[in-house]
Amino acid sequence: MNEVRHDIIIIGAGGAGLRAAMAVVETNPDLSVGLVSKVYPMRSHTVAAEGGMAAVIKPNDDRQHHIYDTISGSDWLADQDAVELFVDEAPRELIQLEHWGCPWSREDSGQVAVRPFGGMQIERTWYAADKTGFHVLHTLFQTSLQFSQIRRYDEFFVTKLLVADGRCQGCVALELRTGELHVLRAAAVIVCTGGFGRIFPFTTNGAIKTGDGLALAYRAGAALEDMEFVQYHPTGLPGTGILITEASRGEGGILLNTEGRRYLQDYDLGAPLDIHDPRHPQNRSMELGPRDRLSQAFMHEQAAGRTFQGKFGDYVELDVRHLGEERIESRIPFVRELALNYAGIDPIVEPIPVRPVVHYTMGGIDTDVHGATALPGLYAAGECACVSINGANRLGSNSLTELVVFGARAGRHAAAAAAGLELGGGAEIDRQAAAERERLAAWRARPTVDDRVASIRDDMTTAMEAGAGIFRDEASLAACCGTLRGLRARADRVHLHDDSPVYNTELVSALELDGMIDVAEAVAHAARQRTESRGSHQRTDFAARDDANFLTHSLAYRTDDGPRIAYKDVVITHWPPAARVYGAANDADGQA
Amino acid sequence: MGWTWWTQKPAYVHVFLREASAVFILAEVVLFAVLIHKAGQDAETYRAYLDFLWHPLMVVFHILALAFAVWHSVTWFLLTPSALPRQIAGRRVPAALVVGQQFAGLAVVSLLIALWVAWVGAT
Amino acid sequence: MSEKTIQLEVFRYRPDADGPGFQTYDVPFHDDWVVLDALNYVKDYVDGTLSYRWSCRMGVCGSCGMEVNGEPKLTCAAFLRDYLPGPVRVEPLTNFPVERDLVVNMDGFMSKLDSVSPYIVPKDEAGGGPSAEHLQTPAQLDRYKQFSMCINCMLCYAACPVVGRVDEFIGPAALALAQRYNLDSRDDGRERRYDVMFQDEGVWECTYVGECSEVCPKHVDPAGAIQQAKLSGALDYYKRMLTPWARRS
Repeated sequence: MNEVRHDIIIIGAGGAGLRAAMAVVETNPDLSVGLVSKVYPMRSHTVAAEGGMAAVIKPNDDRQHHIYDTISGSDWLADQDAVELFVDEAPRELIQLEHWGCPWSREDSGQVAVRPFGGMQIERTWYAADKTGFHVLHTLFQTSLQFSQIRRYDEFFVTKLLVADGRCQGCVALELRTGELHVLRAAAVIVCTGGFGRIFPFTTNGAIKTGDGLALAYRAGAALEDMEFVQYHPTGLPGTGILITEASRGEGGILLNTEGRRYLQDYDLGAPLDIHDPRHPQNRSMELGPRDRLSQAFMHEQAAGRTFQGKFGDYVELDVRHLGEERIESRIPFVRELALNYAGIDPIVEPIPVRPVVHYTMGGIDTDVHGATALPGLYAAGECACVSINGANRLGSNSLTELVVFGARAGRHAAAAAAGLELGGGAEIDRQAAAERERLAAWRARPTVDDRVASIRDDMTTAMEAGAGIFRDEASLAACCGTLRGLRARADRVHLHDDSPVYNTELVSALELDGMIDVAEAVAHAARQRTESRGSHQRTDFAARDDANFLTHSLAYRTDDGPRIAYKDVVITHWPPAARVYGAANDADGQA
Repeated sequence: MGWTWWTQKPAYVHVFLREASAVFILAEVVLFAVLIHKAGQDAETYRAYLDFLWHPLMVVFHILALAFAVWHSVTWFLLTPSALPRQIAGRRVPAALVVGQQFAGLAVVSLLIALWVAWVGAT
Repeated sequence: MSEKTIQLEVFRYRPDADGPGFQTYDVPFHDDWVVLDALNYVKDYVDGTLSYRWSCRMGVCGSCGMEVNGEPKLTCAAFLRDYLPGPVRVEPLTNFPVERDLVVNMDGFMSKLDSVSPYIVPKDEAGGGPSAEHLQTPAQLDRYKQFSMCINCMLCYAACPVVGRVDEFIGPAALALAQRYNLDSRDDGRERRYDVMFQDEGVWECTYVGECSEVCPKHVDPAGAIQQAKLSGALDYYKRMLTPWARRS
C-alpha cells in the first residue's frame, strides 16, 4: 500500500476543512497538511448554504444578544462557554473572510450589510446575496491554493481511522480514480466531513452528506453527542427538498395556510404586523421565530387540515410577492431561480409552496472548544462535530460561522499539538491497514444476494422518517431501532455488481450506507432514551422539557450490539435555563 | 477536433462566418486601393478597371462582401455590451443602450456618406 | 396501467474492459424529473455499475455537468420533459479525457484554475488594519460580482471550440476568475496574473465564439470577462511601452 506522511490530515474540504487547513499553516508554516476529500473541494455542501453568517459587527448589536439568541435558540442545551467563545471570535473570522475576498453584500457606505434571521433580537447576518455558502466556500478554496504546504487528495474516500498507542495517527483512503488504497499518516487528524441529513428521505442535503466522518470517529471509539437533535427547516420545496432560504423571511416573506392566515400567530410566536408596516418583519417574532417551532407549527396545521395538498405531500405558502421584483432580484435572486427552475413558480407573481425538510444535524462527534475529541490526535469541526453551540436547535446563520470559528480553532490546536511529535506504533498501523485492505477485499468476494444498496438505503430513510421525524414517541422509536438492526445485517451481506477499480461509485455508496446505518442507530437510540421534549426533539409521549433530568448531552458509544448511551452535563455559565419566549414579549428577554 | 470543427454547431458556423468576413473585406480594400492607383493613370486604364468592377460576377461579389460586412457589424454590435466594462461613473449601463448607440452611430455615418456622395454627384 | 417511459442512451466506458459504447435504459418518465433523476434511477434500481458525479441537485455544486443530446448541461437542471419523446443521449463533457462512463478527468482544469492566482493579493497597506473590514461600495462590488458566480461546472470548457483545439488554452472559467480578482477593489494582484492572462494561451487565444456564455448556467458571461481583459491588457501594454520607467517589478 502506498504510504504518505503529513503532520496533519484533514478529512473533508468544505468550509471547516479548508479553514482548518489554513489555520494550521498560519500557526506553523513548517507543517504539512494533507487535505483529503471524497469530492473536489468546491463540490462540498457548504456551497449550498444560502442566507448568511452571523457575527456581531454593527453598533446596535452586542455580544450578549448573540449569546442569548444562540442559547435560547438551543433550548438551553448549548454549552455556554463554547457559545461565548464562538460569539467573541465570530467577527474576526468573518472579517478574515472579507480580507480573503468574499463578496459580501454592502451598504451604500461600503460597509458590510446585515439582515435579520430567525430567532434574533438584532439583525446580524452577513450575506452575499443568497449564495453566501457558495461564496464562502469558493473564497476559502481559492485562497487555499496559494499555500504550498496544503497537499490535496481530491476524490479520496477515507474508510478507516488508524489508532495506535492510544492516539489517532492517520487514516486509510481509497483513491476513487484508481481504486488504490493509501495509508495517510499524521500526528493529528481533523474530521470536517459535514452532517448526515441523508439518513432521512426528504432533505435539503446533497448526496454527499452521508455522515462518513461520524461513522469513522464512532468506530474509532469517539462518542457521538446529541444525535437525537435533527433540524427540520420550515421552508423546503416539496418533492425535491430544495431549500428556500430563511433570508426570504428575513426580507419580509410570510407563511400562509389554506385560509390565507399567517398561522404562526396561533403558536406562541407573536402577533403579525401588516406586511406594509415599516416594522415588519419583527425580529424573534412570527416568521422570524426559530426553525424548530416553525416546523412544528406546520405539523399542527397539517393535522388540523389547513395545509394545501400537492403531488408531493402537504404544503403551506411562502409569500414574498409584496417585496417586489427589484428587492427579490437584489436580495434573494437564488430563491427566484430555484423556484422558477424546480417548482415552475415565479415568486414575484405567485406564493412558493414550502414544507419542513431535514436540513441540519445538531449532533456530531463530541469535542471540546478546541475541536479535540476524547481520543488524542483526533479532532472534529463543522457540522460533523458537536462542541456544542447548537444544542437542541441551531439558530439560522450560525452554522457557516461555526465552520470558520471552530475550523480555525481545531486547526490551530492540532498544529500546536502535532509539531515535533514523535510517533510510535508503526507495526500496529501496518497491521490495521492490512486488515482494512482485507475488509474491503471481502466486499468484492460476497456471494450474490437479492438485495441492493439503494433498497437498504430506502428502507433506512423510510424508517428514520417514520420513527424519528419531527414528532416521535416510544413506539415509533422502538420500531425504528429494531428496523435499523435488521438493516445492519442486510448491509453486511449486500453484494456489489460493479467490480471495476476505477470510479467504483457503487462501492462508495455501499461504504457510505455502511456508516449511515451506524449513525442512524445512534440517532434513534439517543432519541428513544431522551424522555423529554426539547428544541427539535419532540416526544409526543413526553411533551415537556425536563431540566431536572435532561439538562444533559447524550453521548453514543459504539458497541457490537448497538449504541450505548451515556450523558454529560450542559455547561452553564451565566444564562440559567428559562422559558423560550418569542413574539411580543421578546423585548424584555435577552437581558439576563 | 478536425478542420471541420466549425460545422458542428450553428453557433460555431455563425462565428466562422463572422471571421470569414475578413477575407471579403480585405478583398474589397485591395480592389479599392487598386482603384485609387488606376485613377492616377490614363483615363482608358481607369475606365477598363471600372468596367471590370461592374462585371456581373464582380457585382455579385460586392453584394456578398456587403452582406458579410453587415453580418460582422451586427453580430459584433450585439456582442459589445458584454465585451465592455459595464459601468460609467459607478452606474451600470444597460446593454440595449450600448447596442443602440452603435446602430445609431452606424446610421449617422452611413447617412453622412450617402449625403456626401449625393452632393458630389450633383456637382 | 402502463407507466410512461423515456429512453436514455448513456455513454459507457471502463478503462479495464471493452472499448466505449452506448447503453440504452428505459426509465419512468415524470414531468418533474431531471436527467440526473433518471440516471439515479438507473444507478439505484437497474444498473449499479453506471458511474457519474453528482451531489447538490440544485445547480450550485457544479458536479453533474454532462452532454445531453450534444449540449453541455447541468443534468440536475435539464428536465426530461424538454427532450420528449426521447431518446435522451447522455455523454461525458467534451474536451475532457474520460476516466469512466460519465466521469471526466479534471486535472487540467484544476491546474488552469490554480495558474491564475485566484485570490486576493493584498495591497501593502490595508486601510483600517486587520481588525476592520475593507470598505467596498455596492458599485465596486457590482464591477466583479457577476464574474464571481462561477461554480466550476466546466460546461464552458466543453462548449468552447478553442479549448478543443488548444490544450493549453487557460479557458473561459479560469480567465473570468482572474478578471474577477483584477476588478476587485481590494486586490493588487494584476501584475502577478499578467503573464498568465496575457500569454498566447491566455486571453488572446479566445476568438469570441461566445458559446461559453451561452451554456453558462450561472450567467457568468466568461466571454465578456475575457474581452474586457483583452481591452485592459492592451491598454496596459501600451502604457508599459510608453512609460517604461513606471513599470513595476
